[in-house]
Amino acid sequence: MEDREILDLYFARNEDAIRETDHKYGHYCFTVAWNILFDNEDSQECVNDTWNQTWQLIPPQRPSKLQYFLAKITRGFALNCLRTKTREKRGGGEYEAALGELEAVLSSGDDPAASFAAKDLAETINRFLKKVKDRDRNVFVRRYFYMESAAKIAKRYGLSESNVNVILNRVRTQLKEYLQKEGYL
Amino acid sequence: MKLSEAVLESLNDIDPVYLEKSEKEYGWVHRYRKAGAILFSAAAAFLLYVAVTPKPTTYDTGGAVNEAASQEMKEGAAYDSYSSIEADSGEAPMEEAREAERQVYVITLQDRNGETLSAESLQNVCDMLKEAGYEVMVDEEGRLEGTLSEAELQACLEMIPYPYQVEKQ
Repeated sequence: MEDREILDLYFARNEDAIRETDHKYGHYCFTVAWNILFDNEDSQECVNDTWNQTWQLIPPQRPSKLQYFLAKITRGFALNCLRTKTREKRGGGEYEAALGELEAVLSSGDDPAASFAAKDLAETINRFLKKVKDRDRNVFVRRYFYMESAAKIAKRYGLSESNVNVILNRVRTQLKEYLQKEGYL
Repeated sequence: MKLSEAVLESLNDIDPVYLEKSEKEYGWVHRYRKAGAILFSAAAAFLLYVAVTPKPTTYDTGGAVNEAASQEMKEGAAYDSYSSIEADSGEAPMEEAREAERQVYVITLQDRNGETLSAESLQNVCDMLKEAGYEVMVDEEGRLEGTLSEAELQACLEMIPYPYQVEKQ
């Protein structure tokens, strides 16, 4: 079923909307959650939460790209779930690895409790990504949005794993310089 | 919250266009596989065709059903000679037909900004197509030149990850 038809079901408050969304994007959203949580049960719960949240958001919202709208919701739930889990026990698969990579570059040595205006930072990162070369940005997005492993990204784009790591290293360095310029570091 | 965590969090507000683009990139890699699968299927179909198509024999020549051929069959050695000529003349036109359908195409590539593709990238594309078995080369004006059939051209274009223009020479 086309996204437009699924959205029409949401607007008609027809519960088939959730069934069709699950049918079309269930596996995709599960993967988004699983890459962060590495846990089947928690990932499935995030996907279910995503359907509930989507039901509440549409309408009034009518996303132009339903797939990425869902991905963001799932990712948000997965990160929340991870935070809860992390309080109990450290270890969240690719998330921890990705976080470690960024920490190595972005650690300022300042007060770690310093808060950042999330929206401003998001806009800054969007501006930064606009400047990055297409291929490098795609690799960065697969790693730090989708939390995919370097091996998986390499396979996806037909690159070697070391090539992916070089690209990630380069983009992280560029990000650091950009954030320094913007006053975050 | 540490900056690194904040960065990971804030990626949730990433422009969906970037998410879409990261999927699309998969598309052209996928097309390589798809093109490979198509080529493999085509090769398998051709081999099957060759395997099941009978070679010209006494029966294929029509000799068994007309008097003239019957006469030749009676002539023994004369028939063998005739049969082998038939077999040869059956293969040659097919090969000629395949050659005849090949034409020279010139493919001009651009990078994603619409600029002329660098010599290195052009050579990479050329090497990739050559490895895939296509008869292509980089000409003096920095374009790809290939002697290809229509189907081969389409398969090549599927593999090229850049905007292109095609001219038939």
